[in-house]
Amino acid sequence: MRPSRIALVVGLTAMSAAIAIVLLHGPVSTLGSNGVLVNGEAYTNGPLENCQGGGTLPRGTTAVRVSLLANVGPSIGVRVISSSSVLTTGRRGSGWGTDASVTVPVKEVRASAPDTVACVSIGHAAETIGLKGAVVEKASGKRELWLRVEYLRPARASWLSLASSIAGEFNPVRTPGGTGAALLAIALMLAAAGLAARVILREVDRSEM
Amino acid sequence: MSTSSATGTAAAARATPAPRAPDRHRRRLRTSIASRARSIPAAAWACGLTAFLSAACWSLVTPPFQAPDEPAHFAYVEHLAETGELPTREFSYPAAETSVLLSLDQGNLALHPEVKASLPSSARRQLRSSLETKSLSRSAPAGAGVAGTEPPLYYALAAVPYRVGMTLTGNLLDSLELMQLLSAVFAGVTALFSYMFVRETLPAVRWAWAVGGLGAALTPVLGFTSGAVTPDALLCAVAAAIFYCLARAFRRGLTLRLALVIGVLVAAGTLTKLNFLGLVPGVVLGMVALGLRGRARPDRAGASRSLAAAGAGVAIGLSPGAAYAAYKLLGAHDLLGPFSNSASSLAEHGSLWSKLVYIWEYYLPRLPGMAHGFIGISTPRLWFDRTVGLYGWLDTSFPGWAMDAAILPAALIVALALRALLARRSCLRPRLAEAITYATMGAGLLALIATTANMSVETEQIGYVQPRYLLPLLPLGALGLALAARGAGRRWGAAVGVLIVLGILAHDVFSQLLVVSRFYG
Repeated sequence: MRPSRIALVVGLTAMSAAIAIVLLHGPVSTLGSNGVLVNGEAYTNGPLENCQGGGTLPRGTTAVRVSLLANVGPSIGVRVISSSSVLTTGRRGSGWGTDASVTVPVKEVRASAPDTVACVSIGHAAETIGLKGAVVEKASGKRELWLRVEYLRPARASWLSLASSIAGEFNPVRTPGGTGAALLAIALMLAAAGLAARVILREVDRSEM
Repeated sequence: MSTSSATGTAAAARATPAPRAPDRHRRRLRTSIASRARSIPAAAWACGLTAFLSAACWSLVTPPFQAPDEPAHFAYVEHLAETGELPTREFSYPAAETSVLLSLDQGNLALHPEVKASLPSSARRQLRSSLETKSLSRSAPAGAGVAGTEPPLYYALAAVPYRVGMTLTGNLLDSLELMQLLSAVFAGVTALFSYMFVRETLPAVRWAWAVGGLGAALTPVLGFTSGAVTPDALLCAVAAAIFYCLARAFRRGLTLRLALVIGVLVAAGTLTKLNFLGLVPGVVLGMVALGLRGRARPDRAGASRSLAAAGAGVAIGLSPGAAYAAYKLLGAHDLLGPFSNSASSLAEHGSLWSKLVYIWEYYLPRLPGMAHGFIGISTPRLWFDRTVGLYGWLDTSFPGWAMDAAILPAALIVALALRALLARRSCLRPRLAEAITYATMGAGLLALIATTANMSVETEQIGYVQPRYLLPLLPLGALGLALAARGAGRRWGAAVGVLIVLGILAHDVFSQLLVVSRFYG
């Protein structure tokens, strides 16, 4: 077999295996939050650290979503502590966005912990970024903005098991919509892939003739 | 031939009236177009079809109005198609569209990855009622927001599928889908001309043309952008056609017809999107080089013909800009129209040196002696990460580990392309003018994007780091991929070419899965 054909078989097999692995994983699900509702906004260029009520940190948390708005976000660090012991930490480098929230991967949490404190450190920002949360009045009368913090982990259900329900939600109120649109999208990409494979092999064969 | 048959033919000729001049002209034109279409290799058509299929898939995968500024571009088309007039720059879109945007929860969905596109049944009912309400205006208010400053060519073309959709079903979302399919056709044109460009620039190895053409066709950011309503789709197609025409002229000589085609394409690009202006200095430079090269021809008539052809092409290309400037000057308006305020603010922002430093640092690492323009951010890394994936309303990207993993294949491709260039450096010297032309086109576009960012330095300077703005340079990317495959050597080149195409296909597929997980997961 020619090297180009071997490359095609190996490449397509590797791609199919990667797609299968992805489909066997699950989407991100929200386990809990610190209960802060977003109704206020403040701005900063960093660097700063903001420690606030973190609520209950659920067991199994692998990522923390923080309500920060940026075109191009700075580096973000997250620390969740309880009684001065650090329960989990994580960090995300600069360059995220454009988003109204940033998700920071953290070390998996082994056991739930109530009444935590969530500390969010914001690195030096190249642009002004928005802090979105709720204004809280402390006992001292000082007002400060608490960010919304959500605790995430991959869902138990895989993408594959959710495929039919996702297909039903596809492209609502459009023609084609629902499962028909999902099947059409798959057919279009299969056709594109088949055509690309055929063209490249034919051109290689013609060159080698 | 027998006498009787000759007489019969003459009689038939007498019986059939000779075609009128316009008919003859039309028939000749049709024959000329058909023969030119036949001269395009089947592989080029296949690359075009592949790009169309990928972009059409993207149009289904991305929820309505979740591509950057799609509501504004749609509002432009809607107002233009309904009234025949250009919209304003106000952010108040026609009432019918606004009602659909509200029903889709478009504003809340954009930038909020935690919000999903799935609609509960009550919202679907509301959306259906919005789509069926005929009393809402499709022309007022007349705002098109950020799209309001753009020239009208793409929008005028998109008005055709808009009207078809409204006539067939009266459903705005069906019109949107048809307009997205028009953009997908432009993706096909972009890939076709990318293939033809690689064929002209690297004529020796046939399979390398397909690597470049398919690489361009399956580039996810092309599919994502051309699966939406945006003038970027037409801009890419026009730019790719210009790259091909220039490459053809450098290889086979500049004819009057080719110069006129380049001129018309430059005029079309100017009427499509203002970003196109970044490519114009490079195109003019290329035309000058081609005209001067013709002077070296032995016959004087041929030499002056080539200069005249280049001049005519440049004149046609610059005519829309000249007409616009004359209109503004005669009407005593600001020459730069809506850009006047930005331009004066740019003039206030430091010296020429500081602006050059800004443009440099917008793409490249800071050099010693340069001020630190982007503290806390590595702009080369930011461009790389966003090229790996930035979809939806710029709110959907791959996790950090995927971007880190992408560095290795990208570095390998760059290294192989450099190896191919080094191995054939002796071939480069006679083609220096051509290389400088392409480099000037690229540098012009990059400088324009960075300068635009510098103009809005107070609001979102780094927000302009969007790979879709670089799509007009896609044919150069296709050339890089073809070079990389050839850089792997005679024995392994074709196999590496196959792997490059499959790698980009995988990138396209995983990008679409990422978007599905973002909006429906």
